[in-house]
Amino acid sequence: MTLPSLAFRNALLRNKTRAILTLLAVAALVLAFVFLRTVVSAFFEGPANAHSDRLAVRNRISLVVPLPLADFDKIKAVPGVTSVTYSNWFGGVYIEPRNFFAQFAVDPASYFDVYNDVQIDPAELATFKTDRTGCLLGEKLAPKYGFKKGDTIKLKGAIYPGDWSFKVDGIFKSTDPFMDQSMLFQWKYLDSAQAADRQGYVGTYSVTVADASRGPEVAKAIDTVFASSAYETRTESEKTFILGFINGSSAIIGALETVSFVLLVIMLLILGNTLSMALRERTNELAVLRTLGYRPGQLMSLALQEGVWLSLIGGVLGALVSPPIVKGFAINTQGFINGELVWRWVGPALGIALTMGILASLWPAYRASKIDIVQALRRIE
Amino acid sequence: MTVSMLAVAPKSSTPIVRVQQVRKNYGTGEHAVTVLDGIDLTVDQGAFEALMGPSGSGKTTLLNLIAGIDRPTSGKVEVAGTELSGLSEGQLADWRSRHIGFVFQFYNLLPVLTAAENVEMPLLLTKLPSAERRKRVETALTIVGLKDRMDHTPRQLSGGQEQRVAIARAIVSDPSILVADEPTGDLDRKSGEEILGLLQTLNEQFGKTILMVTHDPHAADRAKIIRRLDKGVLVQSAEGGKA
Repeated sequence: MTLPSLAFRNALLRNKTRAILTLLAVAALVLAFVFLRTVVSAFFEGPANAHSDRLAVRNRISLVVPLPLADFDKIKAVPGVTSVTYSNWFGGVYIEPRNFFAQFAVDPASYFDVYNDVQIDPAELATFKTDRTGCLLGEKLAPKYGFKKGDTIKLKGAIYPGDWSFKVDGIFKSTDPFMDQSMLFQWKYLDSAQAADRQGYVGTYSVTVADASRGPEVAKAIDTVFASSAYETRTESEKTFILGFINGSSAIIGALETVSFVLLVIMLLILGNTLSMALRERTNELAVLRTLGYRPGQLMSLALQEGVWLSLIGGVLGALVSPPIVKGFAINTQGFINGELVWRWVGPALGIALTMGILASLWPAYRASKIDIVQALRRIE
Repeated sequence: MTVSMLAVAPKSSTPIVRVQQVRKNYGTGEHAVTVLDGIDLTVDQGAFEALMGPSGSGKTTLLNLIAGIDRPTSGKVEVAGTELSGLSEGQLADWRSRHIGFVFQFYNLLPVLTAAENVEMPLLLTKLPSAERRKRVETALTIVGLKDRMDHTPRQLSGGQEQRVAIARAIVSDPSILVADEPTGDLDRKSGEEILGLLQTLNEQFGKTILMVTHDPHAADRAKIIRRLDKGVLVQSAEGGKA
């Protein structure tokens, strides 16, 4: 017999219904916490994967207003710029809108100089460069829909109306999980299908700089080149550019973050309430232990251990069920949320549950240690 | 009965308990209630004494003071050579674990533990290795006649058996003195007799000093000395009937 084993039995065997409900509540809260934090992490995954030596150049008015292709050479001529490429967000629909994945119209000649983290078989790349209707798929996108090299993918254009067909020329791998679930195709294919007055425009330019620490300086230089022109630019780091998308969702992210912290408070209250009730019911036993010679600190430790057991077991339950549930949800978001991010939060959630268990036990444990033995024994009789 | 765990205390006229001019008040000012009013008491080592008296006479309060779970308003309580008023809460707890074995009216066993584990509880405060603790627990349960019920939980025991487990818990650390507050108060006559017989054995064969609070004159008769309290004052001391 040891005191931790007594605490374990007190926590779980005294009132089994209450113990099971408390454990399930802690497990559910851990699951909800992990779920929300994973979703919030997914928002910030892009900025986290951003390259510090990359800049994004877009129209100063709005992202939806294009820039002329003619700016390409002017940007490349800015001191500090090492490579430039351009792309357009396509926004096509594969069969139905719920099958979301990103599609970019890119310039094959320059794209892989800027996005040099993209790995692809040279033969497949060579084919893509010469195939006007060809496309490349991220390695996680292809298996999701069963696409194989040589297949034809049909998309319905939303921003660029019409039915579009692409032949899969190859599969690429990227260090950016978002890109691994994206599709690249020839910018020229998109451009040539536009009306004559809408040809020659790109969505954004992506730029690499020789010295990442001089990025802001180069960005300013690029914007200066186009100042007072018909197409003024806003150049920012890749990270800031992606954060710009997130800012549009800041209210939602803020709400998710707030709710995730409210969950912790609820966990604190549930554990605190359970322990307070359990210890109050056992006041006489605590008095008996004091009579046997247990010190106040030992009673406090015993009560704290009860809280630790409840939060630990509930936390482990929650941690065990979180990955499959969150990953299942992530699959249903069609890649919008990277399910693997759940692993970032399983460990911290367990640690947080444990901390909540200790915090929630502090006051009931302190009160248990301060009982008046005589009064408590009198209560029995 | 030969049991190595319990040191057989020599019977002597050396006092193990000295209570001098002890007063105990509850509340303050106009609402103060005097429960003990200038008690002087000496209990010799190896004695078996019963404290009797009507409800509210202060007998349980006196027992609590001697057991070190309450403190007097004034006066001195010295037990097993230690003056208790000078001890801190922690020191008093340590002292209790070494010198006091407490038997309650309602047994107060922990329901989630087996009989053996309940008896082991006081030993967790010592540095005894697990095997030694187990040995002592077995010995204590053998003394109270419940070796075959070691793995039973309190719910699986009768009231008399529960009280015997409580007595085993009280003696397992070989305390200087056993204090029992109405140990037969919740038992039927037969079980009560068994418990009183057990206390008598502990006193006579192992020389354990026993102080017992009881309402029951029949139970008090098992003690060697019967002391009566009334309104916080010791009013009579007499020899017990069968002692």
